[in-house]
Amino acid sequence: MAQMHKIAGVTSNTVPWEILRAAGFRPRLLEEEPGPTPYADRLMEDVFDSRIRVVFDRLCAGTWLDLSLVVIPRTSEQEHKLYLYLREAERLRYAAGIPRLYLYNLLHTRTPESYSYGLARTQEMVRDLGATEQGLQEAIEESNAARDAVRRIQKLRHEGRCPGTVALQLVSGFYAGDRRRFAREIPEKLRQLETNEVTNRPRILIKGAPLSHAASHELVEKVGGYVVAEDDWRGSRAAGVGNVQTDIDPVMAIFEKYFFDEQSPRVHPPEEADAWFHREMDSGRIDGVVFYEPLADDVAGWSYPRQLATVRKHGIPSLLIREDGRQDANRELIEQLGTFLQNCVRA
Amino acid sequence: MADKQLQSTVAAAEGQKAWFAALRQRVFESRAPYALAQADMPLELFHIMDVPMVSNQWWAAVVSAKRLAPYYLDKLNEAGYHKGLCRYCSLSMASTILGDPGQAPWGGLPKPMVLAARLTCDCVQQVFENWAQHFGAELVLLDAPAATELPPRWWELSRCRWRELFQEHRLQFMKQQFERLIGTLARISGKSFDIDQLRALMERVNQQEEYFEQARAAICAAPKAPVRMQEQITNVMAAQWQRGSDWAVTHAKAFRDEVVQRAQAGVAAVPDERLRLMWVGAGLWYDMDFYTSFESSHGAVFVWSMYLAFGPDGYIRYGLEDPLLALASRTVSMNEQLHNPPWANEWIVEQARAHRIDAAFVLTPLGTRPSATGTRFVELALEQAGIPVFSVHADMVDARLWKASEMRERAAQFLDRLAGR
Repeated sequence: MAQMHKIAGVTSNTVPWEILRAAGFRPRLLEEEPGPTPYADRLMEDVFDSRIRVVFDRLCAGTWLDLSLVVIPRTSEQEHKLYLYLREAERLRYAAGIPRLYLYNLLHTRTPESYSYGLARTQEMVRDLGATEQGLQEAIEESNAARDAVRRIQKLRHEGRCPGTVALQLVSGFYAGDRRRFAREIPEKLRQLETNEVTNRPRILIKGAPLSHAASHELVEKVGGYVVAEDDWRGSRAAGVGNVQTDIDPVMAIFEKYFFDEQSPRVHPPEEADAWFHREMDSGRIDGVVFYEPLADDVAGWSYPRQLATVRKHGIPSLLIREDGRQDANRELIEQLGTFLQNCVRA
Repeated sequence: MADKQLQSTVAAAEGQKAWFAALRQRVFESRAPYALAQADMPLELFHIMDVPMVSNQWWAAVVSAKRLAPYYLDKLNEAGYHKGLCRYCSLSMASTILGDPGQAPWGGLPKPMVLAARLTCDCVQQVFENWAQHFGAELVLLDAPAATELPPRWWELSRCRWRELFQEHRLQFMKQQFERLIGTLARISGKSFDIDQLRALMERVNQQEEYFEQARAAICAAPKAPVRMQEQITNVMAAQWQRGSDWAVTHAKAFRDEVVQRAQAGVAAVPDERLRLMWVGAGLWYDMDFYTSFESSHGAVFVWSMYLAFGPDGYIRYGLEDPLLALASRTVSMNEQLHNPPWANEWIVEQARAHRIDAAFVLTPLGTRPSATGTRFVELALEQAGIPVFSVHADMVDARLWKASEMRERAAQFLDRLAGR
C-alpha cells in the first residue's frame, strides 16, 4: 500500500474510504468550524446548510492547506451543488488554491441501472486514483475492523452503559482518518464504560435532520434521558448492517457496501430508507422518539408524518423539536423535553 | 392582468383548457390512464406511448394563478409537513390529497396511474414518494448523475455536439432508465414502443423550437419588444407541454408569424418602452400583473424570461440516428442548465446581451430549493457584464410570503435609480 501521507477531504459517509486509503490517502471528514464565511456569503444562497457553507468557504479560502484532494459524492443535492460551485469559483478565479476535486457519482436509487452505473464509476475511481488490488484488500480489512469497533460502541449503548453524547464522540474517530488506530483504541476506551451501571433513564431515539454535533444529545441527557440511538451516519448507522465482503472482487465489494448499506437522503425506495428505523421501533428498546425537524431542512420533514404514524402505531411517545440544542436552550424547550421524558416509560 | 395583445395568446389559453377538458373526459369517462410528472421529464415518451401527462409545475402554476396556493399550503402544514419545505413541487400534491377537492381548479386532478420524476433535488423524491403512496400509484424515478465535464458556452454544443457535451456514460445511463420507463408506459397503455415514431416526434419538436428561435430573434432585433414576456410564456408553455404534437407545432408557427409580423410592422407591446428588463427564474404565478406594473410609470418592459429563450437552446437536437439517446441528452441536464453554475450564469448573460437588457430581476425562491441555487453566480455575472440587478426574494407559488405593494415600491425605486443614470 502506498504511504499514507496525503490527506483527502470527504464530505460525507458515501465516499469509499477504502479506495482513498488504498490510493495512499488518509481520508478525513470535512467538518464544520466556527468563524466567518465570506466566500459562502458571497456565492452561496441561504438554502445550503451551515456545514456545506463552511466547507465551501474554507476550500475557496485555501484554509485547509493539508488537503491534496477533496472527494464529493453524488448522494445529496447539497454536495452536488457544492461540487459545481467549487468548480465555478475556480473557473471564474473567485477563489485560488482549491485542492483537486473528485466527484464520485454514486446513486442511491436502488435500481439495476443505478447499480451498474455506480459499479462502473467505482471502478473508474479505483483507476483514476491508482488504488491497487492489494491495497484495497488491506484497506477493507482495516475498515472492517473499525466497523466492528463501532458496533461494540453500539452494543454498549444498547446495554445502557454508554450515553449518546459519549457514543457520538467515540464514533467521530471513525471518520477522522486512521481506522487502524481507531479499531485498536476503541476496545480500551470501552473497557472503562463497561463497568458503568446500566441506566434506568428512558431510552430515546433521535430521528430527523442530520446532526453534525452532539448538542441535541446533550440537551436530552441533561434533562434526564438516555440517547440510545440516532438515525444518522455519524452515530448508530456509521458501521451499517454488514462489513465490506472479503470473498468477492474487492471493488465490487466496496461498491456494494456503499450502494446498499450506507445512508443518504436519496435512498429509494422508501421502504429501504426506513428499514433501520422500523427495526429500531420493533426492537423493544426505544422508550421515546425525539424528532428533530428544523425549518431549514427540506428532506427529513417529508417523511415526518409517515414516521410519526409508525411511532404511534408502536405506542411509543414522541416529541417534535425545531431547534438542535446549539442555541441557548430555551426554558420552553427544556420544559417540553422534561414533560416528554416523564411520559417515556422504560420498556 | 394586462390585455392579451396577440391572437395566439388567446388561442394558447383556449387550447390548454380544451386539452385539459379532453384529458378529464378521457380519464373520467373512458377511464384511460394518465401520468403526473415533473416538468423536466421526457414528455415525448408519454406522448408516443399514448399516456396523457400532466406536469406537476404546470398544475402548481394553475393552482397558484387561481389564488388557491395559500389554502392548500396551509393544509399541507396542518398535515404535519412543516413550513420550510419546498412548495413549488408539492403544491400540486397538496391540491390532490388535502383539503376540499371541489375547490381545485377545473374540477381537480383525478387519480393518476403513474407518477414520474427526475431527481434534480433530494426533496422531489420525497414529494413523489408521498404522492404515489397516497394514490397507491406506480412511481418511476429517473436518477441524475452529476456532470463532471463542464465545457463553456453549452448552448453552442447542445444541438449537434450533444454527445460530447453531456458525457457518454450519463447519456447511456439515462437511456437505460428511459427503457425502464417505456416498459412501464407500455404496460399501462398496452401500446408498443416505436423508435421511428419517436424520431418523427423529435423532428417535430425541433421544428417547433426553430419557430420559437425565430420569434426570439425577432424580439432581439426589434427596436421595441413586439410581445410582452407574459404572453411569450403563455404561448411557449402551452406548446411545450405538448411539444411535437400537431397542435403544438402549428401553434408555435402561428406565434412566430404573429411576433414577426408585429416586429416588421413596428408594433411595440409598450410603445413607450424605455427600459428592457429580464426576469430570471420561474414566474410569479400568483401575481403576473407585477410584470406590467412599471410600464406606464417607467417605460420598463419585461422582454425576456427563460421560457421562450430556453426552447431553442435547450431542446433542439440534430443527429437523430439514436433518438432515445438524443432525448436523453435533452433530459440529462435540463434543470442544471437553468439553475446551476456554470450553465445558468453564462447563458443568461449571453441572453441579456442579445436582448439588449437594461436590468435584470433575479428571483431567489424562498420555498423552492432547486431553483434557489445558482442565483448568486447569475447576479454576479450580470453585474460584471454591466447589467444592474434587482434581487427578488419570493416564492413562485406561495402568495403568503409576497408583499405586493412593498415589492412594487422597492422595484420602482430601483428603476428610478436606473432611469436617473
